Amino acid sequence: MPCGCQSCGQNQNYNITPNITITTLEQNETYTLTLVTYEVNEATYEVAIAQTLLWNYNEASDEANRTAKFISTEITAEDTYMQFYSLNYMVQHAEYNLTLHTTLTPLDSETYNSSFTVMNYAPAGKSGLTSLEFVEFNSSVTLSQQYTILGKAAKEVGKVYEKSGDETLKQLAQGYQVMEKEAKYLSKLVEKQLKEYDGEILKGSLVLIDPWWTCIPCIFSWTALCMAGAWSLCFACCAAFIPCCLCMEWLVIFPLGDACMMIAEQWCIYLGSCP
Amino acid sequence: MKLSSKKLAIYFIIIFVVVVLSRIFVSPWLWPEKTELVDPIITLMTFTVAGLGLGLIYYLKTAGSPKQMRLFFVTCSGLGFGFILSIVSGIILATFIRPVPLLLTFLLYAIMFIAGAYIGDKIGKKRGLY
Repeated sequence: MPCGCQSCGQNQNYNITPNITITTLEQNETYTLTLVTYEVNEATYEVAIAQTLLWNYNEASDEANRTAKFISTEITAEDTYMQFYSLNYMVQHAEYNLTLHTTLTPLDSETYNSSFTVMNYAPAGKSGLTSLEFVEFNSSVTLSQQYTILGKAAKEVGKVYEKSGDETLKQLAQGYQVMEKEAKYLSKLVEKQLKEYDGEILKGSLVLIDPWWTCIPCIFSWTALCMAGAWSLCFACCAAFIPCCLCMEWLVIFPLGDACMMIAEQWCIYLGSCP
Repeated sequence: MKLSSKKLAIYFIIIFVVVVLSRIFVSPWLWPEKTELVDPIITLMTFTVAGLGLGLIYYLKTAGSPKQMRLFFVTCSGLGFGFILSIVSGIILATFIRPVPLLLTFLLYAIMFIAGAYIGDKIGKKRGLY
């Protein structure tokens, strides 16, 4: 390692920033071999990265442009060797941009040990409404089945947002509907065109990490508590001091629901329940 | 201010009528962009809450026992003060733990509800409500 804390404290002149050199040794349409050389404390290390394009898909239509790539990456460094596959799927639509990235660690030629998928949806020309899903599978499903399940999961999340009644969350629901559609599309694509690599994935439980999962209950419960608190304080005041009953006038004139939801939203962001 | 039950009933009816009229005529004029204020279901629910609250307070003031009044006052204080106190304590908590687990915030609210109820009980006793 470059330097330990003890050594640094003794004013020794260590080079803690490695000098990195990247050289492309071989490159053609489907294969790239890159050599990464780096120097740390006068020692030179070499890492060879070989990337093979195993499948390439392009589809351009009036509606959207879809591209998909399945790449095998082999990394060799000293006496270490590792291989993984990655599937990149991109959709450029007039209304949204969607990217999906899956990394697969192979166990043997027919089975994957684990997979990790990131799906990102961003509505075109809009900011602040970006939704991100992290999906990890543990059950024995094939790659195409994984995307089918991902689509179903996105559909369920979308339903929750749709029923929320909140306009912002309703907009997010549209994103999840797109995710569902695209995940199913990719599933069929993999099933048809990537049969050879549509292997079984052993590890990983389905984890749908989405900050909005905690956000929705947080906003709704705190909105309800805020409204209940305002009415209760008014009732308590009315019971204790009769002229105080006039507070009800204020509560009905004022858009209490909206105000409480606004407070709850800010509160849930502060607590970290909402992004 | 001590009112007879008849005067109290008239006072509460006037309040309720003004509540209804204000909501129907004043609110949409003050906040024309707020759909909540013209939503018939929300409006009806608001009238129900206000009506039930006034009715319950009237009953407690005229025929309710001190025990019932105490239960009502303590519950309302708990909900009201509990919310305010949980916001204050949540701000302090969030400086140490963030994100604050949602269940922990509800637990905090439950604790603050008890604290608020205790404060309300003290106020109620001091004012001779029960």
